[in-house]
Amino acid sequence: MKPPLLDIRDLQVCYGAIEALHGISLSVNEGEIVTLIGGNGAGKSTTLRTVSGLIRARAGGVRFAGEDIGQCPPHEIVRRGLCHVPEGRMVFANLTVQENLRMGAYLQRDASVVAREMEYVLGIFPRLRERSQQAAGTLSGGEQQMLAIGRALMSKPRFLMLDEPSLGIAPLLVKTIFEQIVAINRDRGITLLLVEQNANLALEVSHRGYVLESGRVTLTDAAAALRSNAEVRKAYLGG
Amino acid sequence: MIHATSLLLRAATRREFLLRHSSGLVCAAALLVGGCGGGGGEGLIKVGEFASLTGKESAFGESSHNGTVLAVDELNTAGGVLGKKFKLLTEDTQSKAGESQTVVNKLVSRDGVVAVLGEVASGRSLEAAPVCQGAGVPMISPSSTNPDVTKTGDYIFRVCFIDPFQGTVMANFATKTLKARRVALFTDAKSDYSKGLAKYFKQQYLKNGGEIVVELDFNGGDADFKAQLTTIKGATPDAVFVPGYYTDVALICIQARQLGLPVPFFGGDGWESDKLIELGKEAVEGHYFSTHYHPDVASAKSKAFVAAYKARYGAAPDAMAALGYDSMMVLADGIRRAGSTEGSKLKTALAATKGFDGVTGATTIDAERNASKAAVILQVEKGKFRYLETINP
Amino acid sequence: MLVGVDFEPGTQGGPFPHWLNKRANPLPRSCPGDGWKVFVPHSSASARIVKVALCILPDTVAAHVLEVCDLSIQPHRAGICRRCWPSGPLDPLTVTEFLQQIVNGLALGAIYALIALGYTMVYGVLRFINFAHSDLFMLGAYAGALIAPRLGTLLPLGGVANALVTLVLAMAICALLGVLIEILAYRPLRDRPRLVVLITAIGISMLIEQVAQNGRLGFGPEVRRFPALIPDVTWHLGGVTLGSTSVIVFGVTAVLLALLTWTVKCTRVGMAMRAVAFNEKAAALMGVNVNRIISFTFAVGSALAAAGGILFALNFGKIDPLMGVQPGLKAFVAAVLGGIGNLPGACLGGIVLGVVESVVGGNPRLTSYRDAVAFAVLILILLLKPEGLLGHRTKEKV
Repeated sequence: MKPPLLDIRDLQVCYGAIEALHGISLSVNEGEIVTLIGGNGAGKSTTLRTVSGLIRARAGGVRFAGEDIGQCPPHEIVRRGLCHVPEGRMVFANLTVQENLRMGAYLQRDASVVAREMEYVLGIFPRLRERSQQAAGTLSGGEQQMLAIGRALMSKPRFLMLDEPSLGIAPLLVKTIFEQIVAINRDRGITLLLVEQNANLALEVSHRGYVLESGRVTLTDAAAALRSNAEVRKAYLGG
Repeated sequence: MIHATSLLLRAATRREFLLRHSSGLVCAAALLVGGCGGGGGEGLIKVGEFASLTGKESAFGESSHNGTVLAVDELNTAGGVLGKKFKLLTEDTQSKAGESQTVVNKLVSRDGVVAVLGEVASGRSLEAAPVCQGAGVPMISPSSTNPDVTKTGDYIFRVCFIDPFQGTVMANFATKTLKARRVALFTDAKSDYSKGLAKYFKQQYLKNGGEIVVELDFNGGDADFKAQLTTIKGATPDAVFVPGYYTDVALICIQARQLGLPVPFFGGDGWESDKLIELGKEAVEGHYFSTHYHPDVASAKSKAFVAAYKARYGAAPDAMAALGYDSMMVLADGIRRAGSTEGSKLKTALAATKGFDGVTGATTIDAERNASKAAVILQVEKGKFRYLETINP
Repeated sequence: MLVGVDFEPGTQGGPFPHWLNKRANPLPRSCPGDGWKVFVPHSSASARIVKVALCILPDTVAAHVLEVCDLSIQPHRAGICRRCWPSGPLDPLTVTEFLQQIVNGLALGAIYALIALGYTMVYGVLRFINFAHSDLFMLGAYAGALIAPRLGTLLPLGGVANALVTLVLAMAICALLGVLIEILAYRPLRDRPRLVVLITAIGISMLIEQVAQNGRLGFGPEVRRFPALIPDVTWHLGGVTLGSTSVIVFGVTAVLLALLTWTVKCTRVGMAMRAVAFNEKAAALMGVNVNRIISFTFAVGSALAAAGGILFALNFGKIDPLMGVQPGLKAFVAAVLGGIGNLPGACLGGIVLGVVESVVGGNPRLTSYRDAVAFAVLILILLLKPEGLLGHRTKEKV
């Protein structure tokens, strides 16, 4: 049994005096899609931010591809192949779509590789190709989400973390986005960790899931099992 | 002989150092009981000096300080006055506004000096004068020429001429020697000295029938004067009067030359410094200014002073050095005549100074506590100041 | 300035401030000399504006203004009657003089532009006004003053080459100093509120100034001569004089502006700077080493300050520890005027400020206020168009 690609053990994170994560443990195996579901303030985004290095944990370990990344700065973690698409997309509104994608490939020095990835991304998100010279700030929410994901793909990551990809986006676009999520997992073998409020949709595409409540993992199971779990249905899937 | 003198001085200072410290301990003990008196215990007369040793007008402060120190050493070698030697306490005003008040306060209240010598710049003398007047400590300015300085009160004196005289001298020079019928006035708005001198110049020059074609000002410390100089050029003057300080004057001359304004520039004693030539180089050649003294002036006292100054400092003295020297000598003379260092007695003696044979000429303190002295006019020639003429009051 | 503006009976003129009234008084009828008489057949409001404008503009320009406003001019003869003028004679401001003031203004403005470039670049990336910028300006000038004579003895280079090497070395030294300041003073405060870092910057600025003025630790407060590294040639073009050093300042500013713009727009590092400017965390998630980019920004900003310092010193020939205070303040105004964070805006702001200062400085009535003008401009621009001349009101889509 190969060790998990991402292995979080007893992670404790604090914002000042307030403890947000009380020692959570979760793991993601290579090639999987795993979803984190939970209410507001459960600690889902905090988990992702800690993994990608934006926040430093108080205690506990994060291992990626067998190596401890708890002390690494964010740019080092990206270099190792772990990409984070943050909550709110955070596209660079002052740069064009094309420049945003190039920023995604910041660590890639080979111009031909960058060009190839750019083609791939614009291929799977044709709407971005139409707007490639526009400033990213003028895009709609859904287009910005596509851009954010495309940007993350530019660095050819092994592992992709998406924080609330469906937030505030029209349902049709959400469908497209999730179709692509499945596609990149299938075609490129990228492992995914999703954080989603729209638990239904997320669990549909995932292999496994974790339920977070008030900074603790309360439940973990295969996605299908979670979807049929009565309590989970009542709390997160709308009964 | 100089070597022996300096050895003696060093020994004297060492002894004075020990004496001062022992008096300090005694004072500390006395403080616990009563108060510690100032003025000069243990056979020392403390004289305070404040000068711009650093900063924009550091050349002035250094010169006057050198002259004063030479005078103190000469006096001490001769045994001091009233059986006591002098101790000079010097403070640096850094050529900054506001500093003078602080340091003179310190000299008067903390150090307890019997008299204060300083400053060269009128603005800074004006700052300090009220402090000395209020504390009843006589102040002698070596070379502040703005008349308002001595108007502060009856404890304030000076051993140089004042700007009404200097302004008149330069106005007459402009009319008679330069034969300039149209003059542009370029004043330092930040300096009391400059504004005062400009006012008196203008008064006399207009009386002489001359025409002031344009009046502009600059801020002392500025770097760019081209805007004003362009207007001055457009007004086609025969000469330009710049009653400012040497740092600014040097740049003004350089930029005037760059703009193609070939007329003579002239000014007052604020020009006098080697720095004028160092900064201005060829641009200041041929221009004129008035001042208090030049080493080439013939007089036995002057020659002896020049020789002593050269021997000690390795360079010829300028007006500020000579006046610094004279201010100390006049003070010593005043103390001798008063027979005491007490404030009111000293001031009365100083006010009665008549015909004191100073390096810069016979010094008589008049009713306004100013000295009636001759002015000399110098011209910059081949990187040196050439003596042109003396104008008597 | 026009003398003797007459207004047609029936029109209103005042009330004006005292000095303005003096300028606009009519010539006495018995004037035997030359003079302009202007008849203004308009209503009081425009008459007022015309009166003010005519008092400030040079004659020939004012004549054009009058033509455009369709006002009749009846000159007796060209020129100004000096004897009749009540407040004091003043020769007419010719076109040549006005052009010379413009040239002076451009030369002065180029220096402000160069300093402003550094301010605006650091602000553009880090949203932070580096108040120590003016002190790096001063340190660059002193570095140049200390390097140049020693360089002359070590390497037998010609004048221009010597100057260039001195410039590059001084820029390098200040770049290192800037990075040092950033690492020691600003980086530890990265997560604190903006105000804390701003005050720290002011503190660093004062610290550098005080140490530099100290005789033992620093350079001492006296004014020093800056060695003339390049010969200063003065060109006369039809009555207007132009110094070669001013042209060089202009050229260097233009080159640096182009270089900076190219760096920011076309290079990978420039793109990273723009990304960091927008959102540090997002940039970090792209693999950008944010600390390194910030250090790089400070290095470039400080190098620009040093270049400004050396060119300033070459132009004016003197240096002292507080030389950066006034130009730095004016350059800051220039940067805000052009749009803080905007590179061409900084240059435009510098030029505008330089020209305004020169024109005002040359006017005998307004000359005392020429420094105040710079700050009046700052207040005006913040009231009317706070994003600056070339700045944009930033809109963000959520």
